Amino acid sequence: MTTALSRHPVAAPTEVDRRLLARLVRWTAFASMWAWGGITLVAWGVTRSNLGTMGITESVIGSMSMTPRNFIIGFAITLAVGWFLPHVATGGTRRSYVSTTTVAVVLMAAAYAVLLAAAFRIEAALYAANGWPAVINTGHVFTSGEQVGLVLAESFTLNLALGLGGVAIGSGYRRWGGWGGTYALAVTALPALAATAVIELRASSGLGEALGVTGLDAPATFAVLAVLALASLAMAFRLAHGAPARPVGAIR
Amino acid sequence: MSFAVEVRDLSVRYGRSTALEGVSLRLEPGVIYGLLGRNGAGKTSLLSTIAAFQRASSGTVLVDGEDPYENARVMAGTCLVREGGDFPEERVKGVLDFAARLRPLWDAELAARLVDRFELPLDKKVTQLSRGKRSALGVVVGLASRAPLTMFDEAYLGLDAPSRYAFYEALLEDYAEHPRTIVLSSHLIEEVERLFERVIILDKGAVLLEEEAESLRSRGRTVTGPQEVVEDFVAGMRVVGRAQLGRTLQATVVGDLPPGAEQRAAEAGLELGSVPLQDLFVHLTSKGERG
Repeated sequence: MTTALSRHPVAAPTEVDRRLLARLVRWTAFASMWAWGGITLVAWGVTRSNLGTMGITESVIGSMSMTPRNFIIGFAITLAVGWFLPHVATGGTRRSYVSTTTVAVVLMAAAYAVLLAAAFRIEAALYAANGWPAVINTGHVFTSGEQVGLVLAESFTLNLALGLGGVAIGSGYRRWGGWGGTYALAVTALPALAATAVIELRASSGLGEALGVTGLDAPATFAVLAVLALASLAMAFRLAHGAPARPVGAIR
Repeated sequence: MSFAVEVRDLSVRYGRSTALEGVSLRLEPGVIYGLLGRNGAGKTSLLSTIAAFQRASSGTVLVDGEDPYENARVMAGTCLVREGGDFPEERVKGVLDFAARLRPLWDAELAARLVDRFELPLDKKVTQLSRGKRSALGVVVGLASRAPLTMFDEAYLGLDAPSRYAFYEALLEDYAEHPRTIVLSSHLIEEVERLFERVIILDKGAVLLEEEAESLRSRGRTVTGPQEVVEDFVAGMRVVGRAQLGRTLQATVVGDLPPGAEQRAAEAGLELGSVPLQDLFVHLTSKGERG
């Protein structure tokens, strides 16, 4: 019986693979540099344009604060799909891949939150110096970019929910291939959509105002976002567990 | 260090198509196996399931006594190199670093020697490598991983002949110093058969045979000599192959020779030899012989 043989002392890799993590973080940092560079350029362009026409009537960072979220989902999908095959083919487990990807997403969520808070601070100084009104008309739990604690807390929990939502979406593609992963969006994208709704459907946003929705208070918002992040994480682990080590296009 | 493999009643299905059905076999530790089979016989499905690249539809796979699927220790000790390789899209150096990180028994010196031998450009991206160089990279990763269970699934088909022979030589050298369980799946049977200690033949998703290479070779003989004499000698025997050069004929017969046949052959000046595995493989997997 094979089961009676002694086990050989091959050391198993750690659950979070630090060198893979370094690779994922390096790639994310490079991609984010372009994303944030683009956001900065557009913010500058919009400000210049508004100055020459209707003048500055609201916070440009506030109105653009939704943009980095879309990058987070996209980058997280790429992380979930990109290095999976070589990792498993080189003897790593699917579990360790998702664990490592999760750490990369947590770091990305934190970095993006800090960047957004910093952008609000710079904008606040600039607007104060010029006497421009830094009104925020998008859905947020904070009413001013100077509420650093709330900006950081909302941004981090939202980024985390969306990032892990991206990992769940990517794991769906890994599990079921191109078409299957797309059909599965009906389920895999739900937590990320719900997280967006939690923020967007607020009185402060145009949509929330139109629908007459006041939205959740800050603690409840953070709690719901955290639950959605955990739901995505559980889904990602579940989907990756059954994912074959084949190119996405070859999964039947 | 070598892993044993036990496969019991394994079935692998993709939707409605069946790749493997009720496969049972055992791979002894520290042995070089040849895995042969025609296209679609189920070789890749078998190796992929053993390496935990995919789950079995039903049945049991045990590697070193444990289910390999999502088993960190067993997966780290099992290396399956497929044709084209499953490399990250990085430079060759990055791919080797990637493997070194996850393979606990990685031998960097061996990797460096093999990189030199196969003239692999370390700074080139994997996507820029020719098919042959990608195959060579797979060979380097497969050998330098020193995995207790190492499997090459047609991984060296892209290599040119000198590189393939360099691979066979490197494999034997390293195997002699570090014995481990090795499975070679290949269509180049003539080239690799000398490496095999045991042979598994898959046919239509089932194990056709599993036995020692020498015992398999003794299932038949080649008879070489003048055409008329050979034809006369093999009359009534089961001839599965003929090769002729001028007036010299080599006939391949399977099954036991009749009593006294060896003496008759010697008296007739005929040469008896062992059967190439390829001829036996073709014979065993040809339509008329199956089922």
